[in-house]
Amino acid sequence: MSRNKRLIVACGSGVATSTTIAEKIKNKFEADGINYPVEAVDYKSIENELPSSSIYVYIAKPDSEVLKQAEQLGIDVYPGVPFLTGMGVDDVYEKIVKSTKK
Amino acid sequence: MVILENSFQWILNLGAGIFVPLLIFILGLVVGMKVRRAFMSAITLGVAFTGMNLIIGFISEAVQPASEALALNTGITLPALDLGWTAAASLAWAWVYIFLLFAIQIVLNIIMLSLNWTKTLNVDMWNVWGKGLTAYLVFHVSGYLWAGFLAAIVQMILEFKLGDMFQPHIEDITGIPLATVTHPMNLSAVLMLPLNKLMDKVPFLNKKADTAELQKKIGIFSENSVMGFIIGILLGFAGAYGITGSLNLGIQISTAMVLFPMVSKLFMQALSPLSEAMSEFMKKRFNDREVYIGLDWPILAGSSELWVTLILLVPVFIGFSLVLPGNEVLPIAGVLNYSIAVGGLLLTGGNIFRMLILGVITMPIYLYGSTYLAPILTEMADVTGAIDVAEGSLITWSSIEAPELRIFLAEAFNGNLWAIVAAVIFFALFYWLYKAMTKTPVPSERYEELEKS
Repeated sequence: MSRNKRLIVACGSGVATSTTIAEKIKNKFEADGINYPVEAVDYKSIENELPSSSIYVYIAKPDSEVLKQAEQLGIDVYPGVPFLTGMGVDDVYEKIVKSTKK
Repeated sequence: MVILENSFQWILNLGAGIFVPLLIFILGLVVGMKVRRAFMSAITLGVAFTGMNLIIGFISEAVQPASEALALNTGITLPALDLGWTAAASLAWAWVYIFLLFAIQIVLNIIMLSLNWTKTLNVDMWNVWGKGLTAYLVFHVSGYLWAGFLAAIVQMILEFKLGDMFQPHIEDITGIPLATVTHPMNLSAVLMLPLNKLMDKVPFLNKKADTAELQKKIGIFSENSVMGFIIGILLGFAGAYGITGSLNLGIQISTAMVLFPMVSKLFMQALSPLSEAMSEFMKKRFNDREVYIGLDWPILAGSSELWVTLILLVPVFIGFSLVLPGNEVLPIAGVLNYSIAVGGLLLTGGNIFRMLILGVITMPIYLYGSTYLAPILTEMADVTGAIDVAEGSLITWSSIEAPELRIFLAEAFNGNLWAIVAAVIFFALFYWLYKAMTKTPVPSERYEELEKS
């Protein structure tokens, strides 16, 4: 696909929680030598953010409309909470890494 | 404490944009960050402070004349400029003692978990700023630094207990095992509780409506840009600005409201290595037992009731600000009242009618709370040097979280009897809330569906 390569993390304001997770993913990418843009965005603007993204990491499960839009755009969607709690984080990260290589 | 205060003073005089980054650089090296990383964090933090100042200067220049025009044109005087939570956070991060609060929260949490006084492990280090704000407020009003720290500790304990009491409800809403929310905004449920109990008696209010469709229709109004634009235009018209002037004011406020979170994000970026190191340290200690993980509120942001409440209460908030006697705040950057929406969501289990009723009734608390807070935040800006406020201007945060608790504690430590009584009543209500929430069925099992007509 010729679309933008970009991983977005969305939370309620695009400030605290999303940035925490975005920074963690950035650090892991850097450690693993993966060059892929990562950005924290505001969930309120998610419909405008999706078209310029390729991976979407959510904090609260998005509604079906957003998920449908993501699917149509061919965006891979992953939960972000494991990055906060530490439970299941390796599993999610591994899948994200696979997505970056698409 | 006096020696501590004096020795900090000269470093403080460097200004927040230099001194706090310096501190972060040193702390970063202490927790084992590479020099390059620690340096990046420090610079980013300095940029965050300076960037914040830039936007605040910009929005002040746009809004101050407009609120003067509003006063001239309508007689409504709302001099305190609402900069929202991002500015309050940047003031708190610039306060010299904030970094001690990290240590206090971690130690307190470990003690309470070890003694089984809580099941919640609060790994949300970002919101330590809220405790910093409380501590400063109490310190400022009472004159005692120890009172500020004590108030912050009280808030931390209440947050752990909020995490405990709401955990099953949050797991039910989000589907995330063991996750909970330790944000102090949920203290709004304390004063809402008696009203919510009354509403149990009303049959209509025991049915649940589906708000997903409505959210789709009005969701656009929750975007910072749209909200800022509308408020700006209305303020312009109310100040007799004419069409060109009003449209321009709309775009200016819109600009500030879009940029605030963008710059605020830099604080988080700068602080994240440090806060991550701390939350990893905490998680490792309690790896072997089941604890609730205390997180920031956005894990609840998938609830459409929350967004519908936030948006529908905006005109109510602004309406109240125009008519309430003694109010000095026009809600702008803080116009989305998350305390009411998130606290209401958890208390009522997502019953939109109840959330709206509770919101309308409790909204004035926030206006009076932020009016009270205005001179204190303004002085905090001056003391920390984090924000330049023009002589004679006031800044504030219209939807300040936990206003009642913060003010009761500040005035109680100031020796005011009414505030001591109010604080005791607040704690009693909090205990009632704790009991009530542990007994109440989780949201998905609480109400019958409202029949579609």
